Amino acid sequence: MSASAEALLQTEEVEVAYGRIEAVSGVSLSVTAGEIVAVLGANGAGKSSLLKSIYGLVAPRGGMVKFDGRPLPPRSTHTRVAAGLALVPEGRQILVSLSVEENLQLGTYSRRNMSGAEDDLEAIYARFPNLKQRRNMSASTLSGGEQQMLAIGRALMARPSLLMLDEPSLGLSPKLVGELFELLRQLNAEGLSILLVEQNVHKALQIAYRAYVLELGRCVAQGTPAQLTAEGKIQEAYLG
Amino acid sequence: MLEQQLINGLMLGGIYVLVAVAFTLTIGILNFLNFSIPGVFMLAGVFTWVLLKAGVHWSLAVAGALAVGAAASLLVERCTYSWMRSSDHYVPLVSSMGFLILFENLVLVQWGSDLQRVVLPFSDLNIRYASLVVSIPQLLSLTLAVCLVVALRALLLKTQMGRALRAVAENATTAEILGVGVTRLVPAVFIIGGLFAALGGMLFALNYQQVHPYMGEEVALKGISAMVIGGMGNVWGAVLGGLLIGLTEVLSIHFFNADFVDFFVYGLLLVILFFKPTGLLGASKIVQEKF
Ligand SMILES: Nc1ncnc2c1ncn2[C@@H]1O[C@H](COP(=O)(O)OP(=O)(O)O)[C@@H](O)[C@H]1O
Ligand SMILES: [Mg+2]
Repeated sequence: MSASAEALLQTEEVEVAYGRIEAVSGVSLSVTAGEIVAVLGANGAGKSSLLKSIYGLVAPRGGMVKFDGRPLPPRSTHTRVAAGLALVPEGRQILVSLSVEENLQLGTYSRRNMSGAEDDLEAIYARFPNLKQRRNMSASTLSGGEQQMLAIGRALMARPSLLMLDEPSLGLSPKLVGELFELLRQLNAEGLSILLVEQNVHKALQIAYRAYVLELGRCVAQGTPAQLTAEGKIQEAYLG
Repeated sequence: MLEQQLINGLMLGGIYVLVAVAFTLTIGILNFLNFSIPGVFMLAGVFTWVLLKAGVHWSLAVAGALAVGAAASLLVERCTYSWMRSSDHYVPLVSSMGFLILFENLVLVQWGSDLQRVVLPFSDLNIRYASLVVSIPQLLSLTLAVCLVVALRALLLKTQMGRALRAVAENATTAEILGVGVTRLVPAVFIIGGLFAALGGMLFALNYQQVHPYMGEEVALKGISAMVIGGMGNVWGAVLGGLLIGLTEVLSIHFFNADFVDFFVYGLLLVILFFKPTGLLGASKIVQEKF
């Protein structure tokens, strides 16, 4: 699975450390264009750190990240956004000092070509009518579910080819979680590749083509959802 | 003549407004008290004098002084703020203060510590109306201060760069996640702040026709007080605070004498802080009110 030529995203032996705490110890994964790939693992397994190093928010101590066949510089997010990567961070990170619409507009920041930005905004509003209703209000007035829509809509405004999400279902009601995963499936059907970090294993495996299981910074299992459930790897990783 | 004093107070306030906006920008967006601002103010004033004395046309002297101020501010950013992320907060604070001392001493070594008279290239710069006198440079500084603040607000509220700056003010990491090149935006904040301070220094030199190496410090104290009175990080607060301090200063000279200026200015500061610790327009909980 590792060195396939057509991989959209590829990490090779990525290591992340905070001082002496090693959070990720040599993880290699790949996302092929058109896939949904899930990264699973218990709290503290290193999932967020892996995403952050892919995205350039932390400099990896070792290893390499390639996107579209090109190595990415270690500590620069705007080059990644411009190249077609987008991140929906853990906890959504809505900017409450901006209005809903300004949050979305800021999503286009790294686009060189602003033509079509208006259409994209309308497309986001068509997908999330609640956001349109509150377009001029502070983003702090949104409910949790609406904030997640805003976080995803804002990421989509950059026109990414790969969307990475860090535990998007956290704190949402079961109904909203269902809608969220349906949305991800739909976005994928429209051609978007997705790298999904989740604690909601059951839901994630329903939509993922493949998944990696992290445990204490290492990849302990990988494969299709069917393979992983058959081998019982999932329960192992979560129950220790 | 009270009316005349009110006019003078507003005009003086215009200069404090410019300095207060310079302070409030780096505080509001970067959470950083930039102590080099008085130095930038002074450099622009001194270079106005130097260039005019060298016989340069006044428009070029003005442009030159502003350019020196912007360049000095950028230098400070390169040498202080860019280190901020990797060090404790007091490091950039202290090093920006170091730049103030450096700028003052460079000017001291080059031109001495004497008060230098700025000779204006125009003769009579006053507009007279009835018995009131309004000097054109003063009128200009007040008008410019207000127009620039309006422009700055429009920049912050209506443009993509403004949205990015407000995003950085709220959460720099989130701004980064959205693709905002924070390390490329920070120099812009310093240049804009530096231009405000430099404009203040240049107009001070033209209005009061004197410059010296420490001219920035007193004005900066008033500028910081103006920012605090108005509410830190709030652009309109800087305007309100600047004008209030200018009026207080002139009126305390009018009704008492010059010895009472500091008493009333800083008394005003204390009284306002006592009743409203966040300043007059200071941060309600919603960060949106900031600009
Ligand atoms: N900024 C940080 N500083 C120090 N340690 C960190 C930091 N972020 C994460 N860690 C540690 O790294 C490990 C992995 O964390 P994280 O990547 O957040 O895991 P996950 O997202 O899977 O819960 C944990 O032990 C965590 O305590
Ligand atoms: Mg996490």
